[in-house]
Amino acid sequence: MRKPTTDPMRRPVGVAAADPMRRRVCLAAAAACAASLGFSVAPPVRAVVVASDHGRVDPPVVIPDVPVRCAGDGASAGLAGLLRGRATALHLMFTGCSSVCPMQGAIFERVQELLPDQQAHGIQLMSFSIDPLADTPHAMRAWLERFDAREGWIAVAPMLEDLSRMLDLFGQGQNALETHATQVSIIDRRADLVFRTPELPSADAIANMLRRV
Amino acid sequence: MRAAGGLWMVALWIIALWMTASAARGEPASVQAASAHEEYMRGEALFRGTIDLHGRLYTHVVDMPPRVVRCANCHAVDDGPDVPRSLAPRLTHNLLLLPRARRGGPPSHYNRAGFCTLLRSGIDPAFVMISVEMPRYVIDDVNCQALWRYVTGDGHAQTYH
Repeated sequence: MRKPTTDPMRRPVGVAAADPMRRRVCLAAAAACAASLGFSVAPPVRAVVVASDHGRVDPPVVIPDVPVRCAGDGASAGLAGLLRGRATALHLMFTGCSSVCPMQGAIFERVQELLPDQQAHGIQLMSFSIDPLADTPHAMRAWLERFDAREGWIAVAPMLEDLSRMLDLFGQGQNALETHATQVSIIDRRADLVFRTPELPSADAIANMLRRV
Repeated sequence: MRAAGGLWMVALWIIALWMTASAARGEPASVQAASAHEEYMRGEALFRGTIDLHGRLYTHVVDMPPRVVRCANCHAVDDGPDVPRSLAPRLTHNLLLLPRARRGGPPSHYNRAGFCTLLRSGIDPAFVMISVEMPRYVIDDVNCQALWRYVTGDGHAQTYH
């Protein structure tokens, strides 16, 4: 039970405040009116994304500029630098995965079919390895080739020391290879994480979101 | 003689009707005629992806490429080798055929019809929808029967004898 306030600065004022009972009646009447008009009397609550949830990330989360190794030549780059200026769909994967990762790859392959002009619109796809010890630049390149990845679809692996942090950010904290999240993270052109999809979203849904970011 | 000829005609009509009814039940003559061993081998080919299976994730509007919806990508079968880092259950005779409580429900088990329902709709024998990662397949009765025979090991012995 909340104690009655004794702070004179917070003491209620006005006609209704003079009589507590009358005040309650007034408040109840006001609430009933508001409810009948379709207003919520509860204070507005900002949407907060919690673990294992999906949907809009509000407020957006700034992606840290951790170093990553890129597929192919193994060049090192900053993650935020790779993301900035592009609308990006990012999924977690590892090249030794035979179960869900091939489906994730096929989904991105289909996204590229749906977005033949993705380069012109500054849209990119990123496969983010969660097995940086095994996923060499060469292995990641081979993985991209399995799905006929065109320009605009890159694969990267973080440094081992950053992996846990990245799994928290993109994978809802699931830290086992077997149970890694299959959601897609949508990242805007400022390198802010703005949306998390449900598990294994359709290519159409991803393409639609990327067009809007 | 005329009466005997009439009887033959009636018998032929009955056989034709029976074959038509079998086909309508989803049991074409080819299924009935195929040996257990042939079905088992076909089932193995379907399981491993030598013969394409067509399926899609249930939230999607197009099929996945057959190579990514192979059963063997996720499931081990019987006493075969593990699929590394896969959480999908190993498909064994006991897992499929022995009654057991699934997700707190009453004991249930698979049969061929229930197995085919699961593949096509994602609904298991306990009437629970399985996870989103498992594709839903477009598979006819002939192939489903073959796959069922393979995953239950029915016909396996004839492979070696």
